[in-house]
Amino acid sequence: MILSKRYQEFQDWVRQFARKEVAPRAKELDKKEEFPRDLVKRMAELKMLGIFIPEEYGGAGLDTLCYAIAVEEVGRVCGSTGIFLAAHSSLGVFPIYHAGDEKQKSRWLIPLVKGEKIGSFGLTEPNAGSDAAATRTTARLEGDFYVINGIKRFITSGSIADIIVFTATQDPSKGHRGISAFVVEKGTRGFSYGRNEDKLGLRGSITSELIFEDCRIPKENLLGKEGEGFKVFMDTLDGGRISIGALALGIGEGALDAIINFVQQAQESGQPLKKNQWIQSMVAEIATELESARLLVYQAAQLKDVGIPFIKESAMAKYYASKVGMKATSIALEIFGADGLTDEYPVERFMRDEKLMEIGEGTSEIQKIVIARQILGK
Amino acid sequence: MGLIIFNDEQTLIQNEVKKFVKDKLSPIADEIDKKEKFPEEIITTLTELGLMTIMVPEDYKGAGLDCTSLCIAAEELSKECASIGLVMVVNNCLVGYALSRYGTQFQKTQYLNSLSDGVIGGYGFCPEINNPERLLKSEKKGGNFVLSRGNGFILNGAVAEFILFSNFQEKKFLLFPKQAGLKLKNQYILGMRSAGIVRFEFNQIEVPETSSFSFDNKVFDLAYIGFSAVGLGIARAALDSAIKYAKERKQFGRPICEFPMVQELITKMKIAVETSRLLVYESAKCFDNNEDSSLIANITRVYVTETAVLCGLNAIQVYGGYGYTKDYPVERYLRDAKTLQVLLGQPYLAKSLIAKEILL
Ligand SMILES: Cc1cc2nc3c(=O)[nH]c(=O)nc-3n(C[C@H](O)[C@H](O)[C@H](O)COP(=O)(O)OP(=O)(O)OC[C@H]3O[C@@H](n4cnc5c(N)ncnc54)[C@H](O)[C@@H]3O)c2cc1C
Repeated sequence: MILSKRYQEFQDWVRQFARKEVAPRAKELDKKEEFPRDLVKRMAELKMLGIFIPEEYGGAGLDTLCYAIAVEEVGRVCGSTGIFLAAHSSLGVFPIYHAGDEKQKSRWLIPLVKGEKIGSFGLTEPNAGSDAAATRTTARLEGDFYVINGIKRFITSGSIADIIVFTATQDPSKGHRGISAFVVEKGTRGFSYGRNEDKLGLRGSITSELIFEDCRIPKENLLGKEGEGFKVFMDTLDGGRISIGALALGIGEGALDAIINFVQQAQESGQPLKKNQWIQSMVAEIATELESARLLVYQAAQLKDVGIPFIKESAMAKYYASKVGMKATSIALEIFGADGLTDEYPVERFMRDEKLMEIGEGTSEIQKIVIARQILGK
Repeated sequence: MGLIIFNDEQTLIQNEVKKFVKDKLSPIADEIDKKEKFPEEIITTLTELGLMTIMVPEDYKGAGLDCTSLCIAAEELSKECASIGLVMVVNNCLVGYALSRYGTQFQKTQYLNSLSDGVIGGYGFCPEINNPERLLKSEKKGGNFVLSRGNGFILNGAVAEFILFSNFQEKKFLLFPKQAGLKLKNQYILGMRSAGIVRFEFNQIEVPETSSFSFDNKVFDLAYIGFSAVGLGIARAALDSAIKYAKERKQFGRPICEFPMVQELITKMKIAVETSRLLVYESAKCFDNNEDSSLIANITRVYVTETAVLCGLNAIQVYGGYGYTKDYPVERYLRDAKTLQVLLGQPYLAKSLIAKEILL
């Protein structure tokens, strides 16, 4: 796809940032399970935390395509920083921008976009994963407050977030029509964190359990209308999938970058490895697949930007990019051999990070269901 | 399945290993993995049971059993803990078998004999594709070899008392005890984290010329079959976990095993596991019958290790977010499987060997 000059310039700029400032931190973040506060600060300075948010709210005033490109380029060097950027922007910032009123926007959106606060999104529960409408977290209106009870699981940046958008039901018997979206701020009484997950990959990203025990949040923290929370979240996820697709693509491209570097320098029985047809075949295949994934991701972003329905396209982008990305990272190890298993190269990390892309924000199976429904009808 | 038929002795081994796994290994397997340390105590017990020298001839105090028995033991052990399966396979194939097939009388008496007393042997190699600067370099000087260069991995290296280094260019092994000039380094690797795999570097080591001896492909045929048995164990463990979880986990009001897309993930695993089993025991039988087994060994290695990786990936997928955490063993299956798949050489190298045999 030919990007117009404006996007090319943005791509160059964000790639420079990723390579110069993010890449040198990636290995360490993974090793030490360190959350990159320094990079969050830098990204805030560079207006990367609200790329698609209008300037009046402190954002960069750009669009979804720029955002996807940014997530891709950051993910290409560091999955953990990439997932932070994607979760903060798509899941923290977006629902407030999308469903919040002006008061809520000035209270929460602006500090999130400026990076003064960290955002997070609590949908998943122990028994409500793919079936997000099975939310058991409850909200009960008592005077000017909602009283919240329940547990959220696997929440990206959960225990370090200042502003958390989450779902709760006022009437479980109503299914998704009983669900509303709320915001809780860090430090609210009755709101606490369970442990952080010990994960296969994305180890520089924090994944937490959130606990609500008779947590009282003011009525003004309702996001949108009562009973419309599920829609807020579905809209959020449709967009979020573009960013996970972009991240999956970026990680896959990171693996390809590493392969290219390795193959161009390696020798096999005195011959340059790049002349080996076994290698050429693998490299050509994954490069082609990643290129196709990029087209899907950019297409979904562009559709969103021009306001054309993009549900099918964003599901396809996420499904396909994570699939070919997983393959690329897996093949990277098959090309590197034993050396690739060590932390001298980034390829084993890319493989560990990439697996989440087939799971988070709707598993590949759920994406296929979404795609099939769009094509075949409900 | 009727194609794989074990004789009485092999069935006995299978029952014994299963019992050991259930009584002794299962209760601590998790702990071993979490510690990511070489499990010396368990290995001592394996030595007592004769499993660490299962293929070593009785003349050298081994159990004198066949490759099929080795695979049975490796499969069962690896189902619980692949690192332990790998340690056992390395000791039997790349150390024990290499010594008994190619070693000098002195080496057999000195080293092979010691294995049944609990001495562990290591296997060192430099990855084949590489910066040539890292490959093994040895020069003759008087009656000695001087090893001035070489940089690679030692399997079982954390506890090995002696090491066999393979020099693929010359098809020669070099065997010597751990000694000065051999720099060992613990290094992070993706999987098999309890198997004691370490990095090495030579720094001007002198070893007597008599420590070098030639080898042929047969030792690697055996190693690939043994590695495949480990892969089969991992794949089965992943399959069993996925089946169990899919029956328990409910979403949308029903067990996820009722969804065809989950069924697809798991049936793919099942088909590949059953095929892998046939391949592992077919190649073991070829080896035991003294047939040329290099083609089947390479086929088996490519297919079975790929199966193990597929099973690791699919098991994580069935577990969803839970599979991505260390609360469940499935993420370890993927790491171990991927490690196994590439450790002894890139899969495409094995494929090119297959191609050579059938085409060129
Ligand atoms: C690192 C990480 C970060 C995350 N971040 C967030 C976050 O910030 N916010 C948040 O809310 N959540 C987050 N999640 C949760 C994530 O979105 C869920 O894990 C995911 O939606 C799957 O849910 P589950 O884990 O309960 O799996 P399950 O829903 O139990 O799925 C298990 C298996 O069943 C399959 N399956 C389920 N239903 C069907 C069906 N109807 N048809 C066919 N197959 C089906 C699935 O595809 C999967 O293979 C995160 C998870 C992880 C691991």
